[in-house]
Amino acid sequence: MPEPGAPGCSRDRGPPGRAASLRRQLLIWLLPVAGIALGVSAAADFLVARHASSLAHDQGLADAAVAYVERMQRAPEVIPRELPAAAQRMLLAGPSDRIFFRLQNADGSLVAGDSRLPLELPAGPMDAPAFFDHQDGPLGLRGVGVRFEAGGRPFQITIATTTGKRDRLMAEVVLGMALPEAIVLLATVMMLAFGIRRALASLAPLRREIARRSQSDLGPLDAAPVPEEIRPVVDEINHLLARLDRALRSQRNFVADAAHQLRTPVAGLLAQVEAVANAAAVRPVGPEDLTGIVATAGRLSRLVAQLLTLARTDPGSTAAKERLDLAEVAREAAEEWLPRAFAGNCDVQFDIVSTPIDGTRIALREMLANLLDNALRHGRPDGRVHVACRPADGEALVVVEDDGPGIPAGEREHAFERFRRLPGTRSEGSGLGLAIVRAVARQHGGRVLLGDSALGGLSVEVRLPAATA
Amino acid sequence: MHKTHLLLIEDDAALADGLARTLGQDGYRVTVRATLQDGLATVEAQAFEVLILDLGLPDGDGRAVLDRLRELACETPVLVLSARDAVDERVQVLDLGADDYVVKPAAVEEIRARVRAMLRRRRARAGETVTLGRLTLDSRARRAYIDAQPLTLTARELAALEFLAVRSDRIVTKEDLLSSLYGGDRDVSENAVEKLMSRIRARVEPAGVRLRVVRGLGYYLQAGDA
Repeated sequence: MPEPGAPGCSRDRGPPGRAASLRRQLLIWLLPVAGIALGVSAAADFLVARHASSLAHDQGLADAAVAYVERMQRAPEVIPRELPAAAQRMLLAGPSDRIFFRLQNADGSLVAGDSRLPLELPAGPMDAPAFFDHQDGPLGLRGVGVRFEAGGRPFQITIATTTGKRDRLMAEVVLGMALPEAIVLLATVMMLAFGIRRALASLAPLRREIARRSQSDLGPLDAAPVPEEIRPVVDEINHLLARLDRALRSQRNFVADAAHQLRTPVAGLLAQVEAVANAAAVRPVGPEDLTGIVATAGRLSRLVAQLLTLARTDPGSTAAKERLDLAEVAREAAEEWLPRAFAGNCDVQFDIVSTPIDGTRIALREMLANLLDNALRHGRPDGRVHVACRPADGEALVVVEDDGPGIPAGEREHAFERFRRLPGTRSEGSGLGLAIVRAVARQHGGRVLLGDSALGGLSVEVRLPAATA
Repeated sequence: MHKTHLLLIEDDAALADGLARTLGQDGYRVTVRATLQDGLATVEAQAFEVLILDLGLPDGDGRAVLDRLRELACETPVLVLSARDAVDERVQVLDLGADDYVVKPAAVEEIRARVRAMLRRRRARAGETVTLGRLTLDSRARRAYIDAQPLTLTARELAALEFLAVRSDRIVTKEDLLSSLYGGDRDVSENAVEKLMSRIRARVEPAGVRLRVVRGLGYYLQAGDA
């Protein structure tokens, strides 16, 4: 049964306010382009059709005029009262279409035909047809005029028709061109939608690969079957997986280390308790039999506390930071550790001035406690410890120095590793102190430097970014 | 003799048992409660001199006890035991009226010392007789004794000692001493405080009480009964 939120449960439903779907975005951009293409080609169709049909119509008018002129020139004494029937058929589209003609002589007086046609003709050479548009009331007319001579007398013939035939021709041409174009457009849009769907479907193998993954498989995703555009995303996911893998490995190592480190004192404790129990069977048991148990339990207790601190000091954590005075935190930690210093007759010198910092109080306290613990633990008996805290060069500086054996320069790099103890030391430290100090410093964006102390031992210098104003 | 009565609210049987036995050996009478409900009922019915409180109780958050004490206007000092140190609980709990805070796992020794210090501070605040090691400080009679022997102190020395006793096992700064003992008189130098402190140190040392100098921070009165 799939768990709620498992991959596959909600892949088609995103939270409100999510980004628009890629398919919709692509269509939103591509459809207007297709629409504009159709508009432009339709306009071009219209212009071409109008031009072609006008040419054809004008040719018909000119042919009719020429036929009339030729007839008059052949027999100038017979003036035809009508246009030839063939010409009429050619120029008229239907019963609503009308044709007019007018024959006039040189002074403009009507010889035959219709007086409604205009007398003035566009000037043209003899025998050459001149075309014109004329609006006669509601009727839009297209006409041609030809000046000619017949039987030695000058005449002018004018023929005009309503434009029904021409317009029908034009409509036929436009329709003939636009219909295939519309079909092409429709096909384009469908191909586009289909293509986008297909392209996006190529992400499915990636989705399947991710869904198939177990949480422990943090190897890189296969970028080969993924479209080029998505590859950067896959690369970033792979980087993230690599980081997760490293973090998980380090967590596993930590748990393994911790378990091992806890097992040793627990086993020791058990052995000591059993020894006392066995002894109690044969003799009275006194407090001296229990000192080992108390010491081991104490060490165990401190180890657990340190492990907890280390476990929650995640370098990537964004724990809430507050404005703090590092001096105050140092004072609190000092208060806690002073009794031990007094017990060891250790002379602790503080040089602490107000040092504002943005940090996590408990982590910084833990860091200072571990610095003091280390110094008191490794310092000489009746020795000296120096604790300083002050702002320095835009940083918050904490220095804790002791007069112990220090750490040889070659060992310093390893001193921060968990459970690292100097070879040959008998100290009862857990080996976690400096690891905690560094973890807290890093959590605060700072660093830790080990050096030689003026007191003769180790100097631990922690530099943290100062509070931003 | 009247035994100091402590209430321990802790659900872990092993820890409660160990603590109760150790504190019982120290001469305290210890009442143990394992749940929040029992703890609340006991707090309302009886008076205690110190309360040791675990926050993570099986039936609720121990902070409810702090709230109840505040409602009752009860001044019993409270030492909070907590395993939950993931958040900065310390400040929060101290704000709620607890006097001190210890993160588990804490050594029993640590808890004993804190209880002693809390009792001492409480008595010093209340003007009652305070015992520091073999030193007895009777604020009402304005006298001090080592064992039964009266200890001669000037009025200022006694005032300083009382001031330190209220803050025993804590760091006391020179500024604190200056403003408390000399009313912030600017003509009094830190040097005068140092001289006063070294006189007091010499007087109380025979009683096993250590007045420590914490160089750079101030002074620390160690009761010496640890």
